Amino acid sequence: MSTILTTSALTKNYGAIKAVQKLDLQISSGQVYGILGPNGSGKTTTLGMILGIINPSSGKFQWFDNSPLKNALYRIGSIIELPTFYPYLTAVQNLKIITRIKGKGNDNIFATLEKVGLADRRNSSFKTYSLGMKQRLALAAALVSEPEVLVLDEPTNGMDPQGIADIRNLIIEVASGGTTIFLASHLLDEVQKICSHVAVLEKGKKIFDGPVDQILEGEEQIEIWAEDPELLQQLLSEFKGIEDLKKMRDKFIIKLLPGPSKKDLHKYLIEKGVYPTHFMTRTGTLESKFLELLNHSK
Amino acid sequence: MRLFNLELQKNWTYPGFWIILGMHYLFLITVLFNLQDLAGSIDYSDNQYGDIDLSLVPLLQFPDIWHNITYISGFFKILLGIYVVIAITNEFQYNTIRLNLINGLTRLEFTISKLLLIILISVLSLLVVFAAGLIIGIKNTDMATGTGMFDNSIFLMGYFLETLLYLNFALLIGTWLKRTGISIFVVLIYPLLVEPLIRWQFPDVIDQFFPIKAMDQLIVFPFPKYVGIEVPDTIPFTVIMIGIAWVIIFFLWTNLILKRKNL
Repeated sequence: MSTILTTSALTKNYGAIKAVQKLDLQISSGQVYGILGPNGSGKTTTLGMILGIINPSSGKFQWFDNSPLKNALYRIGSIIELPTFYPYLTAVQNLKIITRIKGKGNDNIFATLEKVGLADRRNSSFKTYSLGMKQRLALAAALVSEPEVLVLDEPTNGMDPQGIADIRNLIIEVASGGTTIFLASHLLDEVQKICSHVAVLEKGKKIFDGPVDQILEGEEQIEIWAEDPELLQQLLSEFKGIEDLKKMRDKFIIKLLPGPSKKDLHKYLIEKGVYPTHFMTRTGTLESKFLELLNHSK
Repeated sequence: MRLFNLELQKNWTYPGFWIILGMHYLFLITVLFNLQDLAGSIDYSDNQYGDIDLSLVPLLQFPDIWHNITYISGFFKILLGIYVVIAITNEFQYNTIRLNLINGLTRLEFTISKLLLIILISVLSLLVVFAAGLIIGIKNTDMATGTGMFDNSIFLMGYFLETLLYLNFALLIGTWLKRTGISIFVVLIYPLLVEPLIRWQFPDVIDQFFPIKAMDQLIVFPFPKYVGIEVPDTIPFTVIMIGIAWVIIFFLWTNLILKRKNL
């Protein structure tokens, strides 16, 4: 796996405001790398710097193998913040501006607009588009040059549920074709569904990074219920290897410590004469982990 | 060529491009072809140059015509300046400059593409003035006398440089201020009011180096020659050099501002 992007001690200050502080990131080819953080945590500033529209205060970043930024950008498709296009130009004309800059042909334009669901409106001027359609065009702009890397800033911002699902599927499809994706979002669910790796930012500082699976490890919870809740509760509290026994209205939520398996628990209950009527595994969510990380950093 | 095509692509379907430039050429052609009549319609009785009736003066004969019409045409560059301001400030207002940069255009290439737009509209304007001069000149000159048709055609070059300088000034202001309204205001008010007030504090030797003065002295007021006051029928070399220097300064300055901006 080759390195696609490295940032070292990348920093941006706006006067006294430290937007991004000494950020170190490394993204390898084929990864779907999510950058997560609350609003104002420095996600867009980071993307702005690596795309050359914001001048870093200090630190460095490097695309591919030492290629100059201009050449690197030809190989990258990107969306940054709100979609911006020439309002009086049509979708096709706007995409032609991009292919012209990148020195690519126009053959791909129609197919790309079809992919994002804008083929019907390709000859309407951009100013007549709804926000959702603008987002779709932004994605088309990122894809039209068939880039090796996609940099996406909040790609589903302002879209309806159908649009969000469409765009996510499209991103997953593109990623499965081997394109490296660097995605900023404050939607945890989005990152969890799409990304293989994640970095969490808070107030411009990286507080975590690693594979998504690794974050969610040990986050599995079990819901359990039986006809005699009191007996069940007693048995659960006696079972070694359980933490966090929580009683809800119609279920207990437990977390297994490393060691005993779900099967062991099941067997134990049956041996004690309790047959669970509800036994369900809940995988961890990035949301709970994310909030935990943020709380820890305070 | 890539940058020129890019700029053309941006402007070709923009209604403002056709409206403002169309107005410029329309005004230019209308005024130039009616110059003799217009000159005659002005009341000269209270003139600092005494009793001179321009309607009787051979304004439109070769080779004098070049100086006279390029001087008059100079007034219409304001419309071109307004268009350049709109073209650059739109990029900031719509944030489309970002679209250009994140797709791999460098800031320098972006500035060059705008310079190419400026050169395009300056050349078009020059061609209109040249064609008008040729047609009107032939109509009004007794060709048999053998006067050199292009004797004073250095004023065409002066006109081109004047337009270039003014439009680069407009580009700088638009890039600096980013907002359309205020930029147009500055582009109009600086040459008329601000620079004359500043220049007023300085001796003439220094005056000539100010940008608007540099622009104005390329083609000086030609008409006093018809009452016997001497007006040079060429443009001094130093004046041309100062003009070119300002074009370069404005361009580099624009690029510097853009380089430092977070977009």
